Order: sequence, then C-alpha cells, then structure tokens
Amino acid sequence: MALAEADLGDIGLAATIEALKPSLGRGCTRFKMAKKNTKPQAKTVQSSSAAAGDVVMADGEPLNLRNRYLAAFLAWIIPGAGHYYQRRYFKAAVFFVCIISSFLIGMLVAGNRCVYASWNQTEVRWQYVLQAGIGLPAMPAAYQAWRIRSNEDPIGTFMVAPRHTWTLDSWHRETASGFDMGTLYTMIAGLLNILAVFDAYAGPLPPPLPKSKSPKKGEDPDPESADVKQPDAASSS
Amino acid sequence: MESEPWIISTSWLYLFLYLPLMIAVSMVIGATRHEQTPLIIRQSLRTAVWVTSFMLVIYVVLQFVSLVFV
Repeated sequence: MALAEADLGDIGLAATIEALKPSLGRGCTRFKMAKKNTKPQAKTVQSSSAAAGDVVMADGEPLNLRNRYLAAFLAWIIPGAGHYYQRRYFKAAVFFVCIISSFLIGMLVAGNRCVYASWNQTEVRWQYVLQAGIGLPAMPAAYQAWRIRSNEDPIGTFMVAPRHTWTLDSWHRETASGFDMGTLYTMIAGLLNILAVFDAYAGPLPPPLPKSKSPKKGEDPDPESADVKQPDAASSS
Repeated sequence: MESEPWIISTSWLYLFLYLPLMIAVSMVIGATRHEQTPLIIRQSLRTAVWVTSFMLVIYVVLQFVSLVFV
C-alpha cells in the first residue's frame, strides 16, 4: 500500500482510494487500475473514481457497481452472473435460482417444446423475443432457427421450431395447457432477467416515495421519506 | 349440457403452478428494489400479498359475473 502511494505521488488520489476502499472490499485489481493513472491531479482523481467503478447509493449505503456495462452483459448472459461479478452474492443467488427455475419449470410442463425461434409462415413466434431475455439458456433456439434458415438440418430436436402448423397443433394437444403454461413461464423468466440486467447496470430501483403530508410552517419534513431519496449523483460523476 | 358453476373447473391442482411463479416474481422484484437482505424479503412478501390479493379480487369478480349473468 505504501509503495503504491509512493508510486502514485498524488496525495489527493491516495485519499480518494482510501475513502473508496471500504466499498471495494478486496479491491486489489481496482487499486492496480487506479495506479496506472499518474496524470495531473484533477484528471487523476476523476479517473480514480471511474477505475473504482460507479458508486450509487442503495438503501442508504454506497454500492460499487464496478464495470456496470460488463455487469449488465453478464447478467443477461447468465442470470445472476452480473451480480456475482459485482460481489452482490445474495442477489446473484436470488436471481439465478428464481429465474432459472422459472425457465426450467416452463420447459418441463411444456415437454421441452415451448422455447423456439420462428419467423415464417408457420408461426411468428413473438414470444421468443421475451424468452431471449434470459440470455444463454434461450440461445440454442436462435442457433437452431439460424440453421433452418440456412437450409441446414437442425441439431437434434431441442428448441427446434415446428415445421408445420399441424405439428404445433399436436404439441398443444399432447401437453394440454402445459404448452401455454410453459410459454408463459419462460416468457416471465426472460422478463425477470431484464429487470435483473437493469439492476446490475444501475443498482436497485428506489421504491416510490410515500405521499407525505405537506409540512406545516416551521416543521421539518418527514425524515424517513427524506432517507428514501437515493441520490444518483455519484454515478453521474 | 350442464354448465360448471365454478370458473376453476379443470382441476384445483392447476393452482399449484401459481406458487413457483409467484415466489420467483416477488423475490426478483424485491431484489430489484433493495440491496439489504431483510428489506428484500420484506418487499417480496409485500409484493406476493399484493399480487395475490389482486388476483383474488379479479377471480371473485369473474366468478360473480359467471354466476349471475351467464
């Protein structure tokens, strides 16, 4: 630490890093990134906060989102992966378990047939747009559709779109309402993952402010509602 | 053909499909609102109760319409 400070040769930067250390946890990698910035003081302090990641306020405490773009991408690819990267382990587990289990239950009740991509005369499968929100688990369907479009045989039958309408009819008949329920489950799983992506990118969405009564003259506004306001100023800097 | 008086005429077992979906939705919504675990759990419970109540109200209205007007 002392060596790094000496290398930086910048007291302002060192103080900024010290202030950010608690929110960084084991911030060795971040610290190395800050070490590269040895330019004039004003720019260096600014870049040190960028190297430390975007810090937003959540539940009254600073939250380091690290590289928010990478986190959002990881969150889309695998539910919870972006939060794991941000060291938000409980939320990563919640997102992974809830979203993946919804997707798997949907696949189960529909007999592994409800996720496929199709945009032709047989069916315009707009539901896949929402299902694709879950990222990697729904990608085989896009690959299979691409193979069919390229006049190649699909690999196996997993996530392959029905070739004819009567095939689709038979799927509905065989699974009873399971096909529709499975489609619903997988669509909701994709939508939930989009919420998780936003959470990885920008932190938790503040709950709506309660309707506070207008304070009387000479009376302080409700301190609790004031706490609920979560400034996002730190992230914009 | 005798009409079924209750809307849920297929099987009550279908209602069990609601449970995992409700748990997943309320937990994810709770987790996107808060960062601390107790607050996430509390928000999830609140969401689950709210959505369930809303669905019950819709069910009662539809059942009423079904019994009275159909």
